Amino acid sequence: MTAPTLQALGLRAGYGATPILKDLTLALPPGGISAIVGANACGKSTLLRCLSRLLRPERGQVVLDGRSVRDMPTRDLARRLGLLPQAPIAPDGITVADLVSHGRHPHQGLLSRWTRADDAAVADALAATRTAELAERAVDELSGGQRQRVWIAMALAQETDILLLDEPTTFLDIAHQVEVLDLLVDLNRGRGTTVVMVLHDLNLAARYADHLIALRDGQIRAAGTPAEVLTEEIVQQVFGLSCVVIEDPTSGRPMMLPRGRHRMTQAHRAPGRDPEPDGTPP
Amino acid sequence: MSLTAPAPLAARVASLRRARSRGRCRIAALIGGLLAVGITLTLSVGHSVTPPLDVVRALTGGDVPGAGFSVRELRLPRAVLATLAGMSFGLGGVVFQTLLRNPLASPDIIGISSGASAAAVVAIVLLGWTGAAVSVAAVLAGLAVALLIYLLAWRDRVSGARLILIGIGISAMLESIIAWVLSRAPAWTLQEALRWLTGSVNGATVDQALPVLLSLGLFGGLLLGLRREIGAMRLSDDTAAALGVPLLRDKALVILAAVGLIAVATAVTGPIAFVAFLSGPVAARVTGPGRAPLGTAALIGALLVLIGDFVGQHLLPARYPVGVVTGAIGAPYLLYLIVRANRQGGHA
Repeated sequence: MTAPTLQALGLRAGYGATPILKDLTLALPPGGISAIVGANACGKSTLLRCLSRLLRPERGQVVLDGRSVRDMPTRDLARRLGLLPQAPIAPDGITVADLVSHGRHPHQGLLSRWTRADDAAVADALAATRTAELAERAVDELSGGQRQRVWIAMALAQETDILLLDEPTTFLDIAHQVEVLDLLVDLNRGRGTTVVMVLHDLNLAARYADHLIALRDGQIRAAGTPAEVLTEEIVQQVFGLSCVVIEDPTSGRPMMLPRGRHRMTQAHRAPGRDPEPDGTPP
Repeated sequence: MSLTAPAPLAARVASLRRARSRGRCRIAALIGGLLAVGITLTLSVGHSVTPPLDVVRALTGGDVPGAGFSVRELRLPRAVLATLAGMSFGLGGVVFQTLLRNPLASPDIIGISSGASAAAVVAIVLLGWTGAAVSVAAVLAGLAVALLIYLLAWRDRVSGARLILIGIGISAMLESIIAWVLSRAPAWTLQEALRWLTGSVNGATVDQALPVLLSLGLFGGLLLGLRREIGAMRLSDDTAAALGVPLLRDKALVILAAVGLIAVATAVTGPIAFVAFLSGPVAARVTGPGRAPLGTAALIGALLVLIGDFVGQHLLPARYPVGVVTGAIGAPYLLYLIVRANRQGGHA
């Protein structure tokens, strides 16, 4: 399988009169894990919605393997590109196996029956996300981390070579966040799936992604390896936050420690701006 | 790490799926059996009780003294119309409830039934129309009401709770239009008035049943063809689109078909109270969670109308149209849902 190329060319998109994305162009590394990061309302989710064709750009286009996604039949696109949206809804009482089976939708025609290949794809998805033992349980009685794994299993049953995820770790505790991100690395390595995700947590993004895309005001401020993007200067520009970047001793990737106005040691206080350690104003 | 599942897991997935599908077939067969009982009752019982064998002979064209006419000309059209209208209401109702993810979002609660009913009353009483023209007017009015509710509920995106409240308001306005039109037709009997207020299969003829059969074939067939897409839409619009459902087109088709089913049936029987509202939740209860129970809800709808009509005709001290009976069953359930919604903090 040659890894697919997904590009955005000159995207301008938004919901009202003022566009959220302004002439944004990017290419996602095929076969890699990319994370889109940025402050609130910088256009992260809008970009992901454009890439997955949920939102039609006012100008520009999204190109998959040299072809505009606009021109692809919906079902064909859904066989190439999967998306886990931010707030999917599990119908009351639906079982894990039934929910994951929905992932087969783009592979089924109007008249085609459910086949052995469909069962195998569902089983693969359950095994890969370690949710096989939950198959008969109702989705709404699972823990947050289990539920997120089940939704990822549904997207996997779709058997796409690109998987987009909109903040897959939101509402999960730190252990479950790590579990979900480890799972995405498994998929990337085991199946060669190109993973593109929006992430809030800069440090987890730097640790798990091969490619970081930092957005600011609907434009790309920086894109590249975590070492290239997670710098004190870029964090300052993208988030308006002063920080210290050190090497994460557990992964060797860069990690960012924010500088606040309080609780700073002498070495990291900004003189003349921050309060003294005893709380007296500067 | 291996990402390929062992074969036994695929076999287990397959056997789980087959077990569920067998379960659904069993339930459908059970309800189908009950439906057959209901139809038999309607065919056998009238002013006098006709033995089953005589019913069969009368239906196959044999001459049964004293019962042939009532079985063929009175009871059969009644049973057929009750079944078809019930299926239309049940299927149309469950589709709305599924799409809007709320049992209160049934077409008879949010004013689509009263829109169709008001159009039918205006067409018949004020304009003197008959037949297919009435059905067409009812379908157009049903669609217009659906569109109006949707536009009024629109604020960035449509929220289910706002749509339901607006629908209830529209429904109240339309019912006052029905009452006003009926009051301008002094020659009408109470029975006829009740048809347009609560629904009735009194005086059913085979000619009346024909448009309902056609709409069930066309719109019902369309909905069953789109049932996988409807299933995907339950997972949120974004998820359905990501799964390859052409959302705008399919959603429009589904709403058109559901409104068509409700409106055509309403143009003939009137808005039989709460059948659309009750069928879906009852079907979901008997089939268990999982899929949207489209076919089961259609069968339950038919069963409700048949049984409700039988009770109204034969088991109560006076004769009541079917809508009075189904209304008496549906109203407490509506109260229960509203009370439960309030306890859950306003999430209807």
